[in-house]
Amino acid sequence: MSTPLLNVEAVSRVYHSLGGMFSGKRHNVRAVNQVSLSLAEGDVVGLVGESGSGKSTLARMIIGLEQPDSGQVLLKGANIHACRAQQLRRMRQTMQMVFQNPYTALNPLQRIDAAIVEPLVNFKSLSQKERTTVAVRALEDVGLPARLLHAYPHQLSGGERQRVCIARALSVQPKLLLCDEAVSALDKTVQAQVLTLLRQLQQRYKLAILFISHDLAAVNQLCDKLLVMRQGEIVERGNCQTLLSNATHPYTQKLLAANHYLEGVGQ
Amino acid sequence: MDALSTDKGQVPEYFRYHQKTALLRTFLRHPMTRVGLPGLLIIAIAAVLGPLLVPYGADEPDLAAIFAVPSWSHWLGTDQLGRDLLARLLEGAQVSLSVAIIATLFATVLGCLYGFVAGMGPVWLDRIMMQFLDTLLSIPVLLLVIVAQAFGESSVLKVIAVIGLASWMGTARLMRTECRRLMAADYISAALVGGASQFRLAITHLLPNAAAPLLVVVTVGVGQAVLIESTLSFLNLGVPSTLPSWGNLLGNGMSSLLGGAWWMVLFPGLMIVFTVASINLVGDGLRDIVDPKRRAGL
Repeated sequence: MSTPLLNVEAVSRVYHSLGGMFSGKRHNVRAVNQVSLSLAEGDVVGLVGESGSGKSTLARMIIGLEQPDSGQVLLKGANIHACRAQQLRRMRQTMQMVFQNPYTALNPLQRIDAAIVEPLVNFKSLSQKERTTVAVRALEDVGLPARLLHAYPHQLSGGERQRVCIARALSVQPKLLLCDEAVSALDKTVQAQVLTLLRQLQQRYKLAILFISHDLAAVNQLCDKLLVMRQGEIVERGNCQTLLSNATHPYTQKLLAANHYLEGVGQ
Repeated sequence: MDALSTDKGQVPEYFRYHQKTALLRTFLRHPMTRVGLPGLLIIAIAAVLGPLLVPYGADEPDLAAIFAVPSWSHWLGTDQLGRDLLARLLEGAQVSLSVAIIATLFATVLGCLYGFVAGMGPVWLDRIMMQFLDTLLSIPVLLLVIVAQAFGESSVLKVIAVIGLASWMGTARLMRTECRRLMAADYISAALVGGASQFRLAITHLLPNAAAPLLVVVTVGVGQAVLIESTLSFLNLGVPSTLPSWGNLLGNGMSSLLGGAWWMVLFPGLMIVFTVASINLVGDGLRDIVDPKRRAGL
């Protein structure tokens, strides 16, 4: 069997926090505990769990923004936490990320065209004309008009900004896209549009996506496989459809019930 | 590429300029700026054009008019060699202001570099660098400058270097704090994920977002530099005494004060006060528009 695109092996991360000044107790929070997962090329995997279950910490460790205490993250067989900064920088072309909050994920003083081509320019030298061409094509890809090229982030709506973030992530043509609650900050209709867009892009570029969310409906719309995370551990994994219709772990059932309850309220 | 040709007109005009013009208007309407900015303009114009308009040269002695009292022929009087004080003050404006501005730019570059390294580096390095900075800040600037000036010949370049070296700490501290604050932002994480180098991070993301408070520090820094330069020159530790910097004129006037030549002290002194006050007022105005909490109170 060939090496998978991404292999996360028994990754753990503990946050130390001092207790009260006088109690002297130390609380060690196991944010992520012995998590293993793997993604092949083109896999779309959902990772669900409630707030504080360690989803974002896991994402930040996979993308290399945080160091795991133990375990390793292998990208195409290479450990991203053991290589040198220069190597890690080069690996970034394979793996990109879309952040949760589109309002803070764009530099407020950087124009959209510069933001989109920035990752690409980090690896290739491009003339001004080439940059514009790339940026226009990237905007088209995410369904935004070319007139936004010279706009600043504050002139865009949340959905438009998240599309720009997606365009920025895809500019280096990565094999793997991490979406950390990428649609949670958007309203329902925009969410659906962005999810559809992600699905289209996934098919067009044969992307592997790790889609982190607390929203089961969104995950159901996008993902093939599903991981359920609770208190830093993966408690259930399997095919998305079957898992959602036939959950075995009580926590998954609880999540589902909560979701159904909310949907019931909405009706 | 067709899509590009029309794009500029389609983003509504008020969107593109609204924020910038609003800030500019707040700045221009600010009571402190209203006093300070015209003051600065007058000084700048006087420094550039003044020497051309005054009929006397700054170093032109007139032995027939030694210690002349201010009159229509010599508006601000003359000194012990009969040199016109107005001409010397305007010439001195060029010296004093260019020394102050270049020294401040030097201090800004130095401070920014130090701030970037401390603010973006590992925590242990940050601690060491900030501790060192605190130590430096505990030494009085004037003492530092006087000791530095005691060695070697006095020259304009040396004064610039000394003032720069004595005043970069505030900028460094500001830049370091701004870096630490901004490094937590999502767009910095996004830039890192995008493979940005430390240099790119500093230049395209941190510096522009820290530019507003930096501008305030730089503005006020120029005023401080004018003061330090004057003090040094007054103490004969500044620019060579052959150059008519404001501090030199003031120092020179002091020795003639007992002889009754009050104008030789009064006018250089007023000039320094007027300049530093104008700069500080503009700095205060800038500070108020940069800090949204203060802006709300206006």
